[in-house]
Amino acid sequence: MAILTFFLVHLAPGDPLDAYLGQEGASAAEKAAIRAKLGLDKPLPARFVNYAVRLASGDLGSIPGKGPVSRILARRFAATARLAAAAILISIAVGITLGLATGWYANSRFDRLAHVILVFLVSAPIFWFGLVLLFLFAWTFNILPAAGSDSIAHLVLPAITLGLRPAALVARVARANTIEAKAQTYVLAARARGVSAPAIAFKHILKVISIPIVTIVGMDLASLLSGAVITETVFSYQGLGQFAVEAISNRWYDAVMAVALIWAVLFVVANFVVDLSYGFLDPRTRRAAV
Amino acid sequence: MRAISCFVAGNKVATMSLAFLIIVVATAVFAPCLAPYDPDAQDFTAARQAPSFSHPFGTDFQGSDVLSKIIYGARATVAVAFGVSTATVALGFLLGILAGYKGGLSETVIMRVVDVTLAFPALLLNIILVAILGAGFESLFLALTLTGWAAVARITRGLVISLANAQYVTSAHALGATGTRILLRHIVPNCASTIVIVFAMRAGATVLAAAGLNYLGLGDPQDTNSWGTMVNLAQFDIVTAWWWSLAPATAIALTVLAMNLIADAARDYLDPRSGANLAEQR
Repeated sequence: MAILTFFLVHLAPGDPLDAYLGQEGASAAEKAAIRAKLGLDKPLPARFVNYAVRLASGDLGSIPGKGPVSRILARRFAATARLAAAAILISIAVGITLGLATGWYANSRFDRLAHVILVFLVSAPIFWFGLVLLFLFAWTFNILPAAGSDSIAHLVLPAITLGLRPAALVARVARANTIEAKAQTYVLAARARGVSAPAIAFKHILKVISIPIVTIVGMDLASLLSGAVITETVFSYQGLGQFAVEAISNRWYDAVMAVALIWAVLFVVANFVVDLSYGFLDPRTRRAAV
Repeated sequence: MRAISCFVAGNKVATMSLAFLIIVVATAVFAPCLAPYDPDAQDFTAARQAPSFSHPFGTDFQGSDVLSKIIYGARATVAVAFGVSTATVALGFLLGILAGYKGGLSETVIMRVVDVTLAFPALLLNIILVAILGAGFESLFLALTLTGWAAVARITRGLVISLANAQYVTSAHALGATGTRILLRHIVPNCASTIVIVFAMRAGATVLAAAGLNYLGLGDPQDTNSWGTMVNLAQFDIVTAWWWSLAPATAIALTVLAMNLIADAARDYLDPRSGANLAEQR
């Protein structure tokens, strides 16, 4: 059944990027990176075979003077995973609340104001939010630390910075689907029974809009990592994104490759999780497979 | 022309956005007349001055006027926005038509490349490309084009496939029209409105992407007057000179905001179906 669900969701039209293509993406990006960085002293195919053999034995290579890539990467990856998870949580919480509210009161003055604000959230560069938050909370009010990645407090500002843009995307999707759901008869029935608006929104509508929201969050993952690169730079947060920039500018070939590889694996896993969550969020997709 | 005036008249937000963008373009064109100071003039006795009447946006670490730098920086932004967006939309449109109309092997190859490009974080791809090509305006241009076309190609392909199955195309086919004629007479003209929206969207995305690269110090050379590069230089002085980084960063934010608001309004105007939720109560 689970396998059937998986294939069904994969074959369904309008599905987010196919997970298997992510895998191909890895090799293409690897090849691009290899082609660019190497090939001066050794022929390209030989280097690639060499790397593939090393990779197969679990060796990600090393950075001159800094030890094996795998050890550095593990630490950096954990830091970015924390940041991304916190940002996604913020974006979902803020996005759903805003989306439900604007969708419920569609075309009100509040909705129109929120629309411009949401467009601003996707328009402003991430470093704009980062610098403004940094200036306000780290320097002017001096509540939160400005740089570093050691404690929960260090996570707050970067997570908000990174979470604002996806929050706007989630809100947009939630709004559109709320408007659609609000017109359904079961919502009318619930209102007729005297159920309050927030109760309907969070009990009935939330269930319906959860799937498109999970889809948009999954689709936005690539941009989230792009954002993490900037966010981590603003806050000197020792994560994967900052490491990638460092690796590329220092020409640590093995490290660049490893980051690309990790990203590809992560992307495949994330798409798989998104696919699986459909069955969890909407039991109908599970039954449809039979 | 009438379509534009009609579109603008009905929408206050779009009018303001369009006016703002016209101001930005005019600023870029007439920068030498508008800038109160030479953007590259250095005066170390006047470094990091707070905003005042003589320097509305303050001065930077070399004592250069931030306002003048922003006025000249508009040139880089406008150049990237128009240049790269035109190139990405043209490339993406051609490949999208090829994939959507011809199908077969070319479709498979093009769409796989599109999937791969879109699955990978654009910024990392851009950084790698810039690292390969070497920093500079040309590499920035090339990198943004190479990563930006994929989104356009995907939209175009979907559009072409749906148009190719439309009844009038089948009729034209039955009347004996050749594939080229159908493509040029029926499909391409019907893509026009979407392409306008896509162009506005790509302009915003391009300015953001360029700003991100410049912010990381990987785009334009450090001594060029561009908004992203200014933020890159200024970010560590946020405590001592917040105006120096926040002024150019806000300029980027407002420009992209205007572009996205126009894209939104154009979508509602040209394709009322997609904005159905907005239009239904209007």
